[in-house]
Amino acid sequence: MNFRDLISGITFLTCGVIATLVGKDFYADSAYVPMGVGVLMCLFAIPVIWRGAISVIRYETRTGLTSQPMVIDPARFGITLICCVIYYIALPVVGFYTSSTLFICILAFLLGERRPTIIIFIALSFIALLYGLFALVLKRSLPVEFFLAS
Amino acid sequence: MKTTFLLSSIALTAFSLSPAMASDYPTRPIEIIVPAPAGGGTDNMARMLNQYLQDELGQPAAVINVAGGGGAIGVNQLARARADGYTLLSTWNSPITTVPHMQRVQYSYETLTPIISTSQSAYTMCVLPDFPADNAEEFIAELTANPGKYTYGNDGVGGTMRLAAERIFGALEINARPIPFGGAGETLQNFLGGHVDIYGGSIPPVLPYVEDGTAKCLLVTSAQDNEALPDASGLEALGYPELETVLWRMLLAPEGMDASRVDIVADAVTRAVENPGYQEFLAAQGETLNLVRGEDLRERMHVEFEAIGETLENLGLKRF
Amino acid sequence: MFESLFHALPVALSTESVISMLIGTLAGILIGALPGLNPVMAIALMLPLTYGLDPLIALGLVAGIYNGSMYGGAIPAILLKIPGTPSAIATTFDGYPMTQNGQGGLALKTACWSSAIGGVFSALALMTLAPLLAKVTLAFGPAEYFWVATFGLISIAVLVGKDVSKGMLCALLGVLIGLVGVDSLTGEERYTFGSLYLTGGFELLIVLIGLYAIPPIIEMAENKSSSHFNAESFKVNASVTGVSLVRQHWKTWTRSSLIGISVGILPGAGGNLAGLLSYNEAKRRSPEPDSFGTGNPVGIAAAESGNSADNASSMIPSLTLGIPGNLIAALVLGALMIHGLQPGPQLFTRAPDVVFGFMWQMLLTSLVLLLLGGMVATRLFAQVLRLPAALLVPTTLVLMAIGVYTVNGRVTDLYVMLAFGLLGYVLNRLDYPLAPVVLGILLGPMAEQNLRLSMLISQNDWTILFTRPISQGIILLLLFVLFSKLWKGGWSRLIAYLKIKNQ
Repeated sequence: MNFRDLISGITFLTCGVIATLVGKDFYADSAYVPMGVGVLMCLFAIPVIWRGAISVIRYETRTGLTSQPMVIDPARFGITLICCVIYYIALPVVGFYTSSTLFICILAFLLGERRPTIIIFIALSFIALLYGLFALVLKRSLPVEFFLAS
Repeated sequence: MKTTFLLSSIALTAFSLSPAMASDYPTRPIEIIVPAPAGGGTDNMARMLNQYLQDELGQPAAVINVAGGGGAIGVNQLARARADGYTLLSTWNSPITTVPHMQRVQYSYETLTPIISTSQSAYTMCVLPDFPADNAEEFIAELTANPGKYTYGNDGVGGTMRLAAERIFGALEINARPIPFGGAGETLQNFLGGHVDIYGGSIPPVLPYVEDGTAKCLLVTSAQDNEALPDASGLEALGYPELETVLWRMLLAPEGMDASRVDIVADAVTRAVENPGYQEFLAAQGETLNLVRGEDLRERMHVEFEAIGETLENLGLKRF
Repeated sequence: MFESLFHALPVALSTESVISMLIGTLAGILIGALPGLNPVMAIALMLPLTYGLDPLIALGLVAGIYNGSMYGGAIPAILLKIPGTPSAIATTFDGYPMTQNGQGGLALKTACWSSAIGGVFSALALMTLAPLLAKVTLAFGPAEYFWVATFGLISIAVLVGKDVSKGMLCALLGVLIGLVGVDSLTGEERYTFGSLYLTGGFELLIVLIGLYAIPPIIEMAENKSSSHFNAESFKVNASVTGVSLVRQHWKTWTRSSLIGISVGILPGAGGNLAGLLSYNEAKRRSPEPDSFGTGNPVGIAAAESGNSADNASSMIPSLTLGIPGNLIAALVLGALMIHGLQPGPQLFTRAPDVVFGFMWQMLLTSLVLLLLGGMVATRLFAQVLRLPAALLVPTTLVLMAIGVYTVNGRVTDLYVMLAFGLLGYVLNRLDYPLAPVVLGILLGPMAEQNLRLSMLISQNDWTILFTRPISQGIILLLLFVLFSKLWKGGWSRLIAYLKIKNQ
């Protein structure tokens, strides 16, 4: 816990240094603001690092909201992210409505919803709503379904 | 030779794959990418045309605004799209003929499929009433007499307005300072507020101010004079018709779009622009019809691309 | 002028106009409340459907969607901590804690009334002061815009969080994100690292959905059984009526509306700046600033009236000058042009019924909110919370995907959204405030461009930034805000120090 400020401060410091170094090669007046931002970032990172370091040295434990772990439930966190990435990969290939229906059903199941009728009912009515809005009213084209592509 | 072979082979494959290609296009909604923000001049022209075009095509056509990078972002996206005729581009000339000299882009006028150009209009330069000039000659004399004194607002570094102005200023050995704003609206705001001396941009935004006398438009960048701006001179009247740089609009498609589909769209546009509603709108915007199709359109892009490349080289702005 | 104004009232109250306003407001609330969908997109998609109809039908829809979405954005901000529109960021600060405390109904009602009042104030300003305020818009040149952006950025970075250095770091991070892409003044690519995607820069909307909507969704996915739904919490105590709310919040509403109107007349800034500045000002003025962020209804009142007051006033430069202040104003101008009405100063004399009718519509749709707002929020959206988290998570993610995809039609944007979501999640956990990041992306490039434009105009004479009276006024205001923060901070630190000493 004590390391959080220290590490985030150091990350921002690195960020600032990189921003300054990359920014100094920009052409003429387009370099000033990026460099200024980089330098300021380094300056403001110092107090954060300083406080972080002191609390690490003193073995202080912090209280309040931040005493939560970084990731509350790594398994569910991972499942949600992985499902999202697979969904985004599938979207342009499989088509919007198909991949979205599957995504809702699978992720809902993996997150612990075990009533198949409810999952399917919600997924289908939600997709039907989106179809009505985007395809029928607004005529907005979304990634085409694999079985309709010409 | 190569092109003919390519075209015929494409036509052949298309023919063998689906014999009734011409009649079954379009069968679903079409997307038209506009590489400018919603509500701008390009967007309005595109939407207006679109309204009549979808009737002619018999399918809804949705305008998608993909703004940014001087238009390059939208054209890049089109270049990556499938060339099935369901993704088209409605653009003005600058992203095609100017921006590729200044930014890395994924497209070229050589590869995109030209469909048809639609309309064109000039840029104008205007001043406030207290400016010591009342016509183009006096305007030029005043600028020549005071090098580096006056600022002119323009639509950004890759914008065609800036190039139009620089070509004229370069030939007349005028030194005015360009101030690149984000678009005609921003330029107008700073011009009306007196933050820059000269308005440089498209005609429609400044028209109301010409009418009520808060702006004097003295120059248009086309060879001909413009009917909407009686006090402004065209470049021919000044003796430099070759310096003409205009704003023109066209419809393009990704590389390799089927020729029969290109014809369907081009024919539809030709019919759509006949509509009196569209013609009225054009006149109100000070634009004139200008229909150039297929390879002639590519040639037009080619000529302008080279000319602008040269101007940019002289200005030291060419990067690619 | 006032004659034409009153002449236009019956036009705005015609059956067609009223129907379009009702539909627009309802659609606006729904669009605003669904994370991912936004009013700009909705208006851009709906306007083409109205080209053949009377312009006031189109404008009634626009007015309804615009005002409706401003309140709609507050609904998920209060119920789920997800701002439905960029402008509702400040509403999450106190809205969500109120839901957690079982005061969701009161929060929604306060938001509804605040939005309506802010909208009414703003519409009145549009009706009576438009030509005057348009002169103010023109008086702001690049130097003044630089200071406006700097003021917004620094004051929020310093005031919004508990820790000044963290706030500033986040604002600077936002500025860096905003700088990515092709520089509009020189054509130089900055921080693109060779990627073609990055040459276009990051779209604010996509970054915002990522930063603000993904973290609460992930948290919801992580917590197995945390349903805040509680039918009791949406029953508002009968003693809370419109009158009692007016009595409680009228000072906050007036102040925030003035802030919102001022932000609105300046093209470029927007509702989120108005909401955040109003929130800060309310917090600064409050006798108990520490209660902000834990569920103080005044926070909602300030944020919602501030962001709604931005709406009508942002139409001032576009209707009087023909200069669109934001994307929605640009769409309104586009719609007018397609109907054959050339924007500009002559619009008031050439089509008075349309212009003044639209102003009435902006006013009336704010009032319609009171009629529809509470009902939609509690009858419909509060019920959504009945859904188990396992279903709420994937459906919201699909909604966000469709919203982000429709911005540009690019799949890459979805990954960018997710990446910013993770960034937001991490920053949350490390106690860094997110609002300065968003404002950095919005205001950083605005400050930079205007700084460089003023340098171009003045030929690198730095004094241009300090010699003009409006700039000086903004600088003084900034110094005042900074000093009052330092003063309070220094004072409380001194007291704490003395306490420790005495022990």
